[in-house]
Amino acid sequence: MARVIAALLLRETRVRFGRAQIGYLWAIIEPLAGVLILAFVFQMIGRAPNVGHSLYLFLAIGMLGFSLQRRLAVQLSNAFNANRALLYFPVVQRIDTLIARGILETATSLLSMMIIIAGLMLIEGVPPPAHLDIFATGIAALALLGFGLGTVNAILGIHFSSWSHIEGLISRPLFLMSGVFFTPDMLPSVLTDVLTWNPILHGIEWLRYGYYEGYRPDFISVPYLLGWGLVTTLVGLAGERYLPPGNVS
Amino acid sequence: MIQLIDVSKAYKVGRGRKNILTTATLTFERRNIAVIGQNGAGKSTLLRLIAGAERPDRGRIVTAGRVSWPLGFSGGFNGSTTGVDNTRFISRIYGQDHGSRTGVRARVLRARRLLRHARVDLFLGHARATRLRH
Repeated sequence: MARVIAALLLRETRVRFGRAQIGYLWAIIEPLAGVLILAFVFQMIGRAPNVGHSLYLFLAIGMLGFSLQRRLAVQLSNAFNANRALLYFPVVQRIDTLIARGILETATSLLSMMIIIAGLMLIEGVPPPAHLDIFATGIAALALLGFGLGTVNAILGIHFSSWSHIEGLISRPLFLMSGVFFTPDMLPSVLTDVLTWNPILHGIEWLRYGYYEGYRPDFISVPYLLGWGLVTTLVGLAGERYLPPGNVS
Repeated sequence: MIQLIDVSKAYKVGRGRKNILTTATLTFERRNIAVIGQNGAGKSTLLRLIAGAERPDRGRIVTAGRVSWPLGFSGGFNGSTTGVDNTRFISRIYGQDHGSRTGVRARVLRARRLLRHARVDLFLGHARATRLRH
């Protein structure tokens, strides 16, 4: 199994990032462009970051945390289709394609995270994460959530052909609701009462809690975020194991 | 020897179900065997079941010896990578890749020699897709 996952990893890296001319760079350009656009808008309306001094860092943490989760959820949902030809090999199991993509996307996101934060440290002189252990576990929790959501997406996708459209509808507003460009304490409590159900918001706040010295949102619930990650992962994997094969198309 | 024991397999086709095998118990002895059937009768499915690329709904399939993945079903190869990359991938998943590019090269050369007997030239390597030419 490890052999197959390693082979899939090498192949995916090559096929996916090899095709575009600048390849791997896209993984960095994408969130970076998001941060720059948001920062531009923020400067236009003259808003200061909610935490810390750097607007770019504030937005980068939100953006990177969100895109880690989102990349996993999207890429895993296409895992079976993209690897359909390879599922002809009996040794290649569907779960291998999920794990290979999970590793690849997490590694890619980590790399872009390190490059962007290191860049901000050099250019803007922002401090490194204050509590690296908390920051790292926050990343792990968001990755677990992304893996779980992606696995569930992949399974639902082979049983309901319109699932990818529905998932797109559900997840579109999530970008606005996940604290990428705000912290919950600046919102009226009517709103936070609703947003507190969004696990991604917990994850992004967790990252900020780990990064900023003295920032301690009483909002975060670690069990809630981990619960989402674990439950979606278990449900997705159980579906993979026990539901009939379904249609890959 | 390949044995199917009480194997059932059905597909969803539109609204209905198509039974490919219904509690079939079969034994294939070790010799050349042809499977003949109409379009959609389940020839490929039978091969995929035997290879283990697909699971039966019910029953067991017992094989003695090694069974290849179903060859020549357009699956397996990825047209957007080179022939050598495809070969390496297969070598890797079957644990036959001993980490060296020369190992793959040797295997490619051997394949080319074999195919030459069948008067087929094999082009692998830096071409975008594997081409076979008579």
